[in-house]
Amino acid sequence: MQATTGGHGPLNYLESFGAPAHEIRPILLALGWLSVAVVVIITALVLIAVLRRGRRVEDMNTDTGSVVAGRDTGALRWIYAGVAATVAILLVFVFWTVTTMAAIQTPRAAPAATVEVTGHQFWWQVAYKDADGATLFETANEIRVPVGKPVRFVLRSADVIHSFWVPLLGGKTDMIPGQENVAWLRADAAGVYRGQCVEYCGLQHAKMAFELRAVPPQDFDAWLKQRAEAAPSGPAEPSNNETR
Amino acid sequence: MPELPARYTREPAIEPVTPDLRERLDRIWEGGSGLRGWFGTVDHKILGIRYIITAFVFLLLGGIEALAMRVQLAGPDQTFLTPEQYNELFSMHGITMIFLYALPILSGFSIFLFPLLIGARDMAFPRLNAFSWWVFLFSGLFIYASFFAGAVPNAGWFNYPPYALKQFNPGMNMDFYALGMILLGISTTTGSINFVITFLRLRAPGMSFNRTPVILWGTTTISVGNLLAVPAVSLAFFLLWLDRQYGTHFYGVEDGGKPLLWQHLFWLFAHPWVYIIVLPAMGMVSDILPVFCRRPLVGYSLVVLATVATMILGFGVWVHHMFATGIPFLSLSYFSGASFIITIPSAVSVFAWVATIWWGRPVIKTAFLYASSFIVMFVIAGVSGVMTASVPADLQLHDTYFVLAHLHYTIVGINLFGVLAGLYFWFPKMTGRMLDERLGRIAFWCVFLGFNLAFLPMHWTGLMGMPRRIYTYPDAAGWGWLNMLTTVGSFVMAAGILLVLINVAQGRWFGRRAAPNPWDAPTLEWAVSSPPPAYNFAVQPVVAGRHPLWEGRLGGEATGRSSLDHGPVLDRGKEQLVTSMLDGEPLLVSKVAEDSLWPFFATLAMTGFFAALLYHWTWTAAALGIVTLLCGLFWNWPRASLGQVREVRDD
Amino acid sequence: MTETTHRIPDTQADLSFGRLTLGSTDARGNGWFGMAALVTTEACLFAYLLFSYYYMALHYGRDWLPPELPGFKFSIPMTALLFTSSVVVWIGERGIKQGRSAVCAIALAGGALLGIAFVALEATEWADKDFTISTDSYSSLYFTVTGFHMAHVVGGVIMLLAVALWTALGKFDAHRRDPVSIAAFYWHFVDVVWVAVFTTIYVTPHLFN
Repeated sequence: MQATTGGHGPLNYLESFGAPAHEIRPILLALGWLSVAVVVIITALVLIAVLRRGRRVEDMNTDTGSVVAGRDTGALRWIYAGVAATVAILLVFVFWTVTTMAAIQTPRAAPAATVEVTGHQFWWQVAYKDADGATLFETANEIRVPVGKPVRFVLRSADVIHSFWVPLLGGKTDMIPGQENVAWLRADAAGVYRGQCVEYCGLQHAKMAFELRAVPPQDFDAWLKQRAEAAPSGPAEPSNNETR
Repeated sequence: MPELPARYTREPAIEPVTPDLRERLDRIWEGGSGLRGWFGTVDHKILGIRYIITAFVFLLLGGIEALAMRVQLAGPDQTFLTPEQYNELFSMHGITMIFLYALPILSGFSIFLFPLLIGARDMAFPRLNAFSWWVFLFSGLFIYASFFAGAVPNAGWFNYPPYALKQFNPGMNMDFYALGMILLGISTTTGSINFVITFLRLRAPGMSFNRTPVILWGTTTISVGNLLAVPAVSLAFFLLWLDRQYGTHFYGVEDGGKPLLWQHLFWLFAHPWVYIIVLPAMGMVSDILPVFCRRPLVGYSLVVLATVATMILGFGVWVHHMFATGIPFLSLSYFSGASFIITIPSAVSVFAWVATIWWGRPVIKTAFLYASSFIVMFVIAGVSGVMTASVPADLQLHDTYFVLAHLHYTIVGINLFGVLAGLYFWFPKMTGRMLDERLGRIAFWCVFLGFNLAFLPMHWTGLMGMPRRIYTYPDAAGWGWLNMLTTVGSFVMAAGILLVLINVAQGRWFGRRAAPNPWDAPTLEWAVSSPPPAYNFAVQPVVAGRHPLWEGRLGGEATGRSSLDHGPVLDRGKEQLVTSMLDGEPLLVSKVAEDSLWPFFATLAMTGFFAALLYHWTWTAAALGIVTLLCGLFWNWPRASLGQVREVRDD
Repeated sequence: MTETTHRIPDTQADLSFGRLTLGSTDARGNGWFGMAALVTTEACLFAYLLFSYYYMALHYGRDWLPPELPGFKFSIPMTALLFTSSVVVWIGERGIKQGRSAVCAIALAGGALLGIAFVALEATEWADKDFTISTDSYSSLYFTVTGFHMAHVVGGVIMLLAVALWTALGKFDAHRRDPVSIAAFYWHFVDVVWVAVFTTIYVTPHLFN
C-alpha cells in the first residue's frame, strides 16, 4: 500500500494534504502547544514547590510545630489569577472553534462530484452519482477524486455504525443506518490517501480500510465517463485486492 | 421541640469517656460471629474494606485483560490473540475498570470514612449499605459469568447498536452486559441514597457544611449525580434488552428505531459518570495534601464550589461524545462551548492544590508522592480533554488513541493515583498497621514511570492516526515503536501495582502498629484508635471548626473548642445522633440497625431473578421476583428495637 | 451529673442538648428522606423515558403516531381512579396522625384497591390496541412508558398493602407511623408521574393536528 506522503505516517493528521484538514490543522496544533505549555508550567510549579520546602520526617507527631494556618490572601490570589488566565485562553479557543466550524461546514467551491459511500461489515460500497442523484456506477474499497476540487460524500450504512475518515484530508463523519450524513473532502496533491473505518463495527473493524486516489481533473473526468459507459447495473461486490 | 410523649424522647446524659462506657459500647456494638456474622454484618468499616478489596480484585482482572491486549499490540500484525478474543478483552477491560473498579473503590473508601469523618457511628441505612456491597459483588460475578458461558461482551463498553442488537450479535454476550448493568445500577443507586442522607443528617453538632472534609463533598455531590444519571443507563440497557428479546424497535432502523437514541441515553449517563468516578478522588487529595503540607487547604470554599459546579456542568456536555454523528451546527457550538467551560472549576482545584504545597511545608511520604504527582496527571488529563472539546480538533482526535490517552490519564492519573494516596494515608486507620514507606516509594516510582511511559506517548500515537478498538495494525502505519513503548510501560506499571499489593500484604500482617494519629492529621477519624472500635466514638463529638485536631495551632481560624472526650452518651442499644441539615443542631436519637441476613437473601433472590431473565425462564423469574419482594417485606418489618413501632410505656 | 444543657464555647452558637426525638417518629426518621432520594431517582427514570418518546415524536412527526390517536375512554377513568386513591391514602395518613389505626388501615387498603382497579383498566386498554410491543417504535415506546408506570403502581400497591397490614396489626400510633408516611409519599409520587405520562401519551399527540 502506497502512502502518498512517503515516509510520513499514512494516517498522521498533523500533516494536511487538502481540506478541511488545512483549516483544522492550525487550531489543532495551537491547542496542542497550549497543552504542552500548561503541563510544563504546572509541572514546574509542583516540582519547585515540593523541592524547595520538602522534608523527610520520620514521625510526623514530632513535627507538630510545623502546622500553620498560612497567609491565605497571597495563596488565594494564585487561584484568582490562574482562573482568570484560564478563562481568557478558553474564550479565545471557543471563538476560534466556532469560526473554524463555520469555515469547514461547506467547501468554498461547488463540489465537482458526488460520491455515495455505504459502509458494510467490513467493506466500502462506493457509488458515483450524476447531477440528478442517479448512480452512474459502483466500485468497492477505492474512491477516485479530482485534485484541487471538493467532492461531496453522502454517507450511509447498510448494517451497523461505521465512520468515514481520510485523516490527511479531513475529519471523520459517522455512517449511521437510517440516516444520511454529508461530508466533503478536497485533495490538494495527487496521490493515494488511506481511509479507515473509525467506529468499531465488529470482528474485522481493524481491517476495514480504503484507498482514496487523487488524480488530475482531466484524468478524473475521462475515467468517470469511461466507467459510466461501461457500467453494468447492480451493486458492486467487494474487490479481491482488499487493501489493508 | 415537638409535643411528643416522654416515651418518644430522650435526653442524653452528658458525660466524659470512661473505660466502663467503652466496655458497654463494645458489647452493644460487637457484631455477630461465625457465618451469620459474616453474611449479616452491617458494620460500615467492614463493608467499606470489602468494597475496596472487591474493587481491587476487579482492578487486577481488568489489568490482566489490558496486559494481554498490550502483548498483542506490541508490534504490527501480531497473532497472540484472535480478533474475537481481542474484541472481548477490550470490551471487558472497559466494563471492568469503568464500572466494577472506578466507582466501587471510591465508594469503599467513603463507606469506611463517612461516619468517622462526621462523628457518627454508622451510615444512615446500615442494612442498605450491606445490600449495596452484595449487589455490587453479584453484578460483577454476573457479568464475569459470561466467560464461563462462552458469551463475553464484545461490542465495547459503550455497546453501540445496531452492532449490539441481536441481528448482528446473536449470542448472549450483550444480555450478560445489559442485565448485569441494571443489577449494578441498583447497587450504585442504593449506595448513593445512603451517602446523601448520611451527609445531610448525621453530621456532628457544630459540623456545618463548610466544616466538612472535601471528600464528603466529593462523594455526596457525585451521589446526587448518580441519582440523576444512573436511570438513563439502566433504561438504555433495558430498552436494548427488550430489542434483543422481544423484537421492540427502539434502536434498530426497521420500523422506526433510531441508533442515536442509544447514544443520547448512554452519554446522558456516561458523561456525568466520568466526573462521578473522579470527584471523590479529587476530594481525597484535597484532604490528604493539606496534612502533608502541614496547613489547611488553600481556598476550601472555592474547591467545594468547584466540585459542585463540575457535577452540574457535567450534565450539560454529553453530546461532545457524538460530534461526528451529524449533529446540527448550533448544537455542536453549544456543546463545544460547554465542554470548554467545564474546565474552569477544575482549574480552581489545580491552583488550590499547587498553592497548598507552595504555602505549606511538605513532608515527603508515599501518600504525598501520589497526591502531588496527581496534580500533574490531572492537568495532563485536563488539557487533552480541552483539545477534544473543540469540534474541528475532535473530528480528527475522536476514536483515536489520543482519546485513549486522555481517558487513561483521567481514570488512572486521577482516580487510581487518588486511590493510592488514600490507601497509604488511611491504611493505618483501617488496619491498625503502617505500610512500609521504602517499599511504598519504590512502588510509586514504578507506577508513576510505568504509567507515564505507557500513556504519554499514546497522545502521539493518536495524533499519528491510530484508531481505537483495532486488534492489529499494519507495519506501514508507523505505529510500531510507539506501541512497544506503551507495552513496556504497562508492564512496568503492573510491576508497581504488584509491589503495592505486596506492601499491603506485609503491612496487614507484619506492619508496625499504628497510633491513632500517625500523620498528625486534623480530622475526626484520627481521634479514635487505629483501627477504630466498633462504635467509632464513645461519646458524640461536637466540633467547632474544620480542623478539630489542629485547634489551638492554627491561630485565627477556630475560636471555639471541639469536644471529643466529653459529650452526649448514647448507650441504650445501638444509637447515633441525627442533626438538622443546615445548622447541625441536635434533632433526634436514631436507633441503628443490627446485623441482618435480609440484604444477603434479597441479593441472592434478585440476582437469581436476573439470571432467570437471561435464560428466559419466565416462571422462575416470576417466583424469584416474588421472593425478592418478600425479602424486602421482612427486611423492612417495623421493629421496636429500631424505634419504628408504637410503645406503651415510658423508657 | 446529668446537666441538661452542655455549652461549647463557639463563635457561631452555643449548642445545647435537651429532649431529643427518639426513633422513627413524626416522619422525621431517616427513612422518609431515603424515600425522597428514591423518588428523585425514579423521577429521573421517567424523565429519560419521556425524553425517548419526545426524541422519536419530534423526529418523525405526525406519521409516527398511530392513525387512531390514544383516546380518553380508559385514560380519564384511570386518572380519576388514581387521583381518588391519593385522596384516600391521604385520609389514611391523616387518620394515623390522629391515632386512628382502623381508619388508616382501611384507607390504605382502599387506596391499594383503587390502584389495582387502575392496573385492570390499563390492562384492558392494552388488550384493546391493534398493535403489539414489537409493531414499531411508537408501539414499543407506548407499552414501555405506560408499562413502567404500571410497574410503579404495582410496587406502590404492594407497599400500601404491607403498610396496611402493619397498621392493622397495631404497630403504629400518632407519632410512630413513619412507614405510613413513607408509603403515602411514594404513592403520591406515582400519581404525579401519571400526570406526566398522561400528558405525553394522550394529550401531546393532539398538538400535531
